[in-house]
Amino acid sequence: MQILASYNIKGGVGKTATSVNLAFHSAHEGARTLIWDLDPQGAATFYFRVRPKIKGGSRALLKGRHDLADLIKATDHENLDLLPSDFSYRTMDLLLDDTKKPNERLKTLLSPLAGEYDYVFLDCPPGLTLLSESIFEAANVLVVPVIPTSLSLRTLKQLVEFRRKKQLRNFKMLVFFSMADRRKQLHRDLMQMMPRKYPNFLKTNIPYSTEIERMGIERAPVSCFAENSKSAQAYQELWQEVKAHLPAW
Amino acid sequence: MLLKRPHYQIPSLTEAQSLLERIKEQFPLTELPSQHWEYVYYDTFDSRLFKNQQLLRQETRTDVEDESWLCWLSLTGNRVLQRGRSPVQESVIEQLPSIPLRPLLEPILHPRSLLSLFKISVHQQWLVWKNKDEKTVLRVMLESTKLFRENQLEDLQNRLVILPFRGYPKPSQQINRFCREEGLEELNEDLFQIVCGKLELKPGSYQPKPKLKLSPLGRTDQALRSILRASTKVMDLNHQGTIEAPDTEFLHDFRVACRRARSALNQLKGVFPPEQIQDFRDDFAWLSDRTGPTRDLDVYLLDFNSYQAQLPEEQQADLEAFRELLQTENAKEQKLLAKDLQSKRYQKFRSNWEDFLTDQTPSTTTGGAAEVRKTASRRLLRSYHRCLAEGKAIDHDSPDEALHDLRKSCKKLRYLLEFFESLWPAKEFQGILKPLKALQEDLGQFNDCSVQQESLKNFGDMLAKQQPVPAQTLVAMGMLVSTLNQRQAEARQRFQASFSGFASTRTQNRFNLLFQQPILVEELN
Repeated sequence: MQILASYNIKGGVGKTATSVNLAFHSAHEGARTLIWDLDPQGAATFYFRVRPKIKGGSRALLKGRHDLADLIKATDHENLDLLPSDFSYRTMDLLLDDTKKPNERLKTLLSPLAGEYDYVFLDCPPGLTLLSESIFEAANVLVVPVIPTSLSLRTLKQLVEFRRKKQLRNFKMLVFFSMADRRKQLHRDLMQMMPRKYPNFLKTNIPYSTEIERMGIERAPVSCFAENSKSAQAYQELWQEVKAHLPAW
Repeated sequence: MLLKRPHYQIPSLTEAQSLLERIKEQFPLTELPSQHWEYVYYDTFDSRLFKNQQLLRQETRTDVEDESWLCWLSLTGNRVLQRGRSPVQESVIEQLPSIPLRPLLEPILHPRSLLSLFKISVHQQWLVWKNKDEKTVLRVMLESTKLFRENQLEDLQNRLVILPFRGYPKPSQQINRFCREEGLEELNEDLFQIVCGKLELKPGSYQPKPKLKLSPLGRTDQALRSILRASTKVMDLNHQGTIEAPDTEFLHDFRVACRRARSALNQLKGVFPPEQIQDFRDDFAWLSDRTGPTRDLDVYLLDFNSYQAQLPEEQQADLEAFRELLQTENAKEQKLLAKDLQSKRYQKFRSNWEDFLTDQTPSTTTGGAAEVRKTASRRLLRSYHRCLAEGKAIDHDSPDEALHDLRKSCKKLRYLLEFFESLWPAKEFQGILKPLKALQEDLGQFNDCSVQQESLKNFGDMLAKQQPVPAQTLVAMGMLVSTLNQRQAEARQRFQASFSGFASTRTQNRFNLLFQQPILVEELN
């Protein structure tokens, strides 16, 4: 089981669209896939039309009162399951602070699912918190969407610095441009410059598009309602590129 | 956790339709447009996927354009291991080199190719149950399947499949209760199993070295006929594949089966009068001779990448001209071989051979009437002692030919052991087979290196005659010869160690004890 976290310190960069669409492509190819919506806003849960509620909330979850497996819901898509969000996730940091070895908590919770899923996608909330550190500990790969703007790149730098300082070497970091708008000069310039500075930038870019925005209306991954669109193809390519960095399942 | 997907058998399509209507009346299910598919199942000749508990199926929509999937499934069909889009018009066999599944399938399949097993037509009617949020919480599918058989469609089955959704148990509980109340019978057999049963396919049953069950007190002529019949069956199973050559292994198995039959005839002399079997011995010698060149070239091509890997990276591409030569020669030889295997001579041999194998008349020789276990013991001991004598005579100064001769003698001993394995307890046999296998391994490697060096030199001469001569290729081939020479020397160095295991007092005692004083299987049990 490979754990992929769609993560960025900054909000609004396309983390949820990334995890939802990549998870969809993984499941579509036949891999047993789970997406865990860790964001209390519950956007991924909303996209899959699942109710954003888990029995007992974050407290029961972190205390291990329920098996994670019992909280899972099937989505409308074959091989793709969801662990829904819950509004109580907003206090996850405080609760984690109360547990022993908070960094290892997520990893421990996920470990019983190892035989059930090939890929687990974590849709993470923004910020650099205790929950983030627990995510870093659990993840094999951090998929980092970055908008080609100065602010977005500044947070990428913060993440890289944090990783270096804390010597977090257990996960790979795969960075790619998200919401890229080729009509904007700044986007074009940064997209040319950044991969030279950070060699682990992926080749695939996700374009800024109305189809991705429409996910909220259609409540489905892009490929389900705009299969032949550029965005759908871009996510398919991104998945192939990300997959090439993972061991075969 | 994969949820159970119960499926219920429905006797007829009419009943299925009225059942669907009743389901729609009772439950909030809506119907989706129906779908037509054609499924083609694939596996290798020796059922490699089936043995791995897997299936490969190409699923093509026939009611819409341009939708085809290649699905790699678990044997029960319950779980998709992986799937990818596939070109509609092409068969899987043609497209395999380019499909995304290839890196995953190749280690299982290599060097065998895929063959299509059967094709079925599938009609699906889908019903979905959605909750207030328009979220699907259950799917129900009515599936009618037909089998393509001799250009006709034959009814297979109609079944109702319940597809529950994790985290939403109630709808599926209700539908399953309804099905039970309707008196529907739950099916356990999968579609693949049902079709295999209908077509009398027995996937996984092919054995290139069939296990024989000989009767210890039976006559030797009867035992020899059983041995020959088993090898002939393997030859027949591979005959067409050897002619068409979708992969290299048909020829390999065909050739090994010929060699085993030939070895049995040659080694058990005196079981039949010489005049009765002389023609067959000649025919087997002819077959061995005819199948040799193609197989040698096959082996070269199969190992080509590893040869290349032995060269420094910058010189690897230089060998490509050599690969092309091998491919051309291989195609030429394959054509000749296919012709031989369809020739009058082969047909005549096969028909006379069949008469001989099915003839129940006891042999007129004393050897033929002898008890098989006694004959086998005598032959095995003689063969072992011959190997011992040949091996002991080999020292550092012995010519390579001495090792080649010993390799042949060991092969004969190995065949004899395999033919007569069933006459002795399996455990006893393992003790004598193990040191023999180790010795054969080293001798085999020694021989392969020597043969390959020889043919590399010949191929080098052939290439040199071609215009223009790629000089780098000849240099690369020369380097390969020296690598092979080195490996041959290493194998020769290992020989003394592996031979000492084979010739140890312990192994000698085992042979002598087992074959000088024959022990009945029953006595040991």
